[in-house]
Amino acid sequence: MNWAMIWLFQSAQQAMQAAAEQGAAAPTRNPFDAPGSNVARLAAAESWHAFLWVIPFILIAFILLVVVMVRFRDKGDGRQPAKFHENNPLEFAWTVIPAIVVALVALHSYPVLHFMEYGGNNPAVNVEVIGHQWFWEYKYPQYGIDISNDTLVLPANQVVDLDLTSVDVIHGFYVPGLGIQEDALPGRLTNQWFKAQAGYYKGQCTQLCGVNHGQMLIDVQVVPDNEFQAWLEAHRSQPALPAPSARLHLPGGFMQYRAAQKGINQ
Amino acid sequence: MSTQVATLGEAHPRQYHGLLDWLTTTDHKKIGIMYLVFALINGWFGGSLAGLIRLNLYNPDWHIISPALYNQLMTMHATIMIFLVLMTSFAGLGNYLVPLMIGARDMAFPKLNAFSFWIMIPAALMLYGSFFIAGGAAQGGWWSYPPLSSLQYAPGHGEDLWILAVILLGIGSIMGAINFLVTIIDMRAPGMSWTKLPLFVWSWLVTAWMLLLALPVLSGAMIMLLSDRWLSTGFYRPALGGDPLLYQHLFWFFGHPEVYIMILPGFGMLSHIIPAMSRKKVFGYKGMMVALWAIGVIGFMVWAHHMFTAGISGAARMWFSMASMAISVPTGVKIYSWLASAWGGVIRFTTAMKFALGFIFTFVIGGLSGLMLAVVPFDIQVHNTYFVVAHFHYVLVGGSVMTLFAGIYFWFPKITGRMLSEKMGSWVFWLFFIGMNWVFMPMHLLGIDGMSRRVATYRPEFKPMNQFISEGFIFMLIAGLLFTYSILKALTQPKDAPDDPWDTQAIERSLEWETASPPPAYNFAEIPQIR
Amino acid sequence: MEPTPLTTSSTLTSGALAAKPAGAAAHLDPHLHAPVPSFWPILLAGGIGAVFFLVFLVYLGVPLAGVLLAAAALYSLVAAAGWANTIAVERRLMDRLQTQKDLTRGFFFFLASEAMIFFAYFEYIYYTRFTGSVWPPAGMPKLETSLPAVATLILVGSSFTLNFAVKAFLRGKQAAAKNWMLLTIAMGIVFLGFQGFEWGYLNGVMSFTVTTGAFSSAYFIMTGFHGAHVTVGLLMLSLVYWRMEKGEYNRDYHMSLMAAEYYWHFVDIVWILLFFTLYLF
Repeated sequence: MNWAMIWLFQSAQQAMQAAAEQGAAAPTRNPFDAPGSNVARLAAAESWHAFLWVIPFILIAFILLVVVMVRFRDKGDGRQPAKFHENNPLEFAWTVIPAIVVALVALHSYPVLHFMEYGGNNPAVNVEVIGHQWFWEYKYPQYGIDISNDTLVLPANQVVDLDLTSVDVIHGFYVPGLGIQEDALPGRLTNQWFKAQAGYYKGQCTQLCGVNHGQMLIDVQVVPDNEFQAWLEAHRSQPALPAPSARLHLPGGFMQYRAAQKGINQ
Repeated sequence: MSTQVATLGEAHPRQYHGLLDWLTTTDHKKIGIMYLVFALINGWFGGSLAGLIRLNLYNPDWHIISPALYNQLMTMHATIMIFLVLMTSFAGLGNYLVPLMIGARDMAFPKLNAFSFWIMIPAALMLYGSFFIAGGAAQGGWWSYPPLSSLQYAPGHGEDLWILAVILLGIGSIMGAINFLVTIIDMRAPGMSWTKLPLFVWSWLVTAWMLLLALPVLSGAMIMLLSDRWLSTGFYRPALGGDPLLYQHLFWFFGHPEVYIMILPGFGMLSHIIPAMSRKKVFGYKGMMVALWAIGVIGFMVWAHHMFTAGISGAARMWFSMASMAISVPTGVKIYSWLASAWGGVIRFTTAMKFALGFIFTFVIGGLSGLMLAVVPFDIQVHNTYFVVAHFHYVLVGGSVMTLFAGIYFWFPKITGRMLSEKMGSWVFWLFFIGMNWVFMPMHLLGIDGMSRRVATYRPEFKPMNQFISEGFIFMLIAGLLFTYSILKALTQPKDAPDDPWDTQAIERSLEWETASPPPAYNFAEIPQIR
Repeated sequence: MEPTPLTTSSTLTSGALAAKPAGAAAHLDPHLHAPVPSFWPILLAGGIGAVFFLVFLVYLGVPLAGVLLAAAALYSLVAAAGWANTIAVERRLMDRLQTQKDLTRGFFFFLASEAMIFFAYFEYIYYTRFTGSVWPPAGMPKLETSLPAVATLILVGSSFTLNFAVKAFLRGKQAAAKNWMLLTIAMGIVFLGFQGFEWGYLNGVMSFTVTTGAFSSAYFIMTGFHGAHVTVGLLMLSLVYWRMEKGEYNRDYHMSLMAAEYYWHFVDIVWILLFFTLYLF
């Protein structure tokens, strides 16, 4: 390896180091203020869409509440209460219109949900994320890398596919900046994909997993491809593991892998 | 005939006094009072645990409470609040009011009714006692998901006691549900047809139906969990071909109806309080009734929205998303109907009414966040974060507890014959309302910003918000103290409440206002006839 | 348009309902359940609480806990019997048809909750079956169906004989009713014997135990839970037979006979589903 390559790797490593230090000091990114992946952007947009459709009904209720309190309070002027107690068209309207709206909101989210679930074909990088009490283990089967209790390093702007499982109790892999959350269950493989922008992302375990649940943190560093290659080079220590035992993009499939995942779990 | 009259004339062939009277009573009113007192005591325990939790979270570096103890406190806070406070106090009000409202002299099975209450005592003793055994109380959260609750990861016996206590509480609740169902179906006064049934009674009918069908499933799941621990069976153990996810399905098949069990009686109470305080009849009686049943049926079809991130299939996510959104429709019907009930009325802002209107505000917020959580892409962003904590505290504290306050202020004169101080009541309301929103509103933001729930410590960026939240708890604490003082003070005063203190004469009213305050042991000298 | 009012004071025909001295205006009416104080509920609740806690102590291996558990269980049974007796005595002063109606309805709701417990187990086994990739699971022997099939026929047959017993009773043929009843009880006991043999065979010969795997756990808990229900059903039938012997039933009042019959049919239906699920499917 010539010295130019070494220099390249070293500078890449330094850039990563600097970014990590900066990122670790910054607050956790959230998918609404600073979406860091295509999934987060989609989810945030879908959330705003749902919110905007639903909020009028909430506002109507609030406005009516204020009007009722101001206009109909007992002012001691001997006013007689109204006598009405039903109004079929009105009741029909406030049943049917919200029903249609919530159905549309739900339907609108289906394509997004489908894309979030099944859209990540041909991932560039495949990582097996394995929950332990109380740290995360990341395996890169393509590159023969297996790191634990460390930052997850991923390439930017490429489809990354996470296969999650656990060796003990249920954990929750949650990185809000990347818009992802999925449980890691023993005896199962769950799956999550995304295409992230370069940056530093923080998350934590979301499924109660024992005494140190609160300290089971997640740090993800998404770096440009050249830096990622440099990182791979630096961590490649052993020959490539066999290819991942199961791909998880089959529609509807979430339990077919129980037999296949045994290689990971036991 | 003469002997029968004589029998009734001595309605209490054996009358005990003092403590024995309470231990042996089968009078639904006395049992209802015991439920309410028991709930208040447990409310103080559960609330104290919440205080300790907030104290620990005031600063992520304090570590006043060890993480293991923190998990115990968090688990027991939820268990106590759900099983021993909310369910209990609704059972208390239901016990007291349902027979009165349907014009009956008691529940259908008065002794079973007493049994349902007394069975809670050993369960509560086991729950509280588990704090003092080696290993401490259960630490697995009130969901108690395996494998965290399995023998391997929860070797302490607190978990065993927790499971046994939950099964015991389930037995009591199932018996109570049977009692309510039979009482409401069989013991209505002559002429009280289904369309004349007061809405609180309707709400208890739906609640009892949900209890009857949901709690046995919890018992089944708990028996399997216990046999995994004690008999080394493989129900939830992946190594033996079992599946921890299945526990989640069974648990939430109970757990989601449970959420409605804890709010529907509150809905029913509001349908009495708002019309009474607005001097108007309830708006859309039939719509309200249908909405209750819609919630009672759809409530059984939405459970997996608690598992959107647990790796369930896309089709399941879509179905449960749609069903969870659908359940907001009957809930919305109720909100709008209450507003329409008050519309055009002449509103008296008594404490009960303040809590009722405050409920509409907080519950609408809880409903909005609930609707948002039904949208799967959003749910994935905030599932199991403080957003969800904020959501369910808005519906349980802002919802159930506010209706309970409203109900207590409304029916306290009927139950005790004494009025609660309206002046103190106003303070209780404002302190509680402000404190509740202060504590739980910022939790939405914490969740969106990425703070996970059930954590004993957190990343430094969440510290200012957490301190703000913990400070708000003081308001709720003072409100609780004032409320308790107000009740104790009222009890020392002479009985001064009229039979119908809220002057519901002008509007339609339910039968409990027709009898004395407090009602005599036999409720009604003559069984009312309803035309 | 004046819709039906809920209840207003003006719709009450009986005038003022405010408290009057007890006895003065009272007359016996069909809805009367005068609250009579009773020690039984708190005694039974304490007993059941003690049983639960002692089960826990037995699990911990505390000395004498087993003896205490047996005592607590016996105590609970005595309390339950005392309770039942009190009810029987009190009902003589009440409208028996009304209380019979209440009890029957309550019993049906109780059966519904029982069905929901079984539902949890059925959900467990079907879920595991349809979402797991490996079925039958490793280590699961082919269950022999001939013997359980005979047991099934016996249990189903006992539902018929019980039905004959009830029909005979309703036609006033007391002797025939009692004979059919005895036959039903005998068939139930034979069924339990078959079950015991099956358990012993699976445990001993096939090495198929509760800890073999998820299926075996489900098999034993479902058949065990069902067996417990058969046992309770047999106790109920025996009690009913005893009361028949004493001539306590007549055409109008035979609520516990009907309850035992419904319970037995329920247990039978659950077994058919179990047999299909565990052996055939």
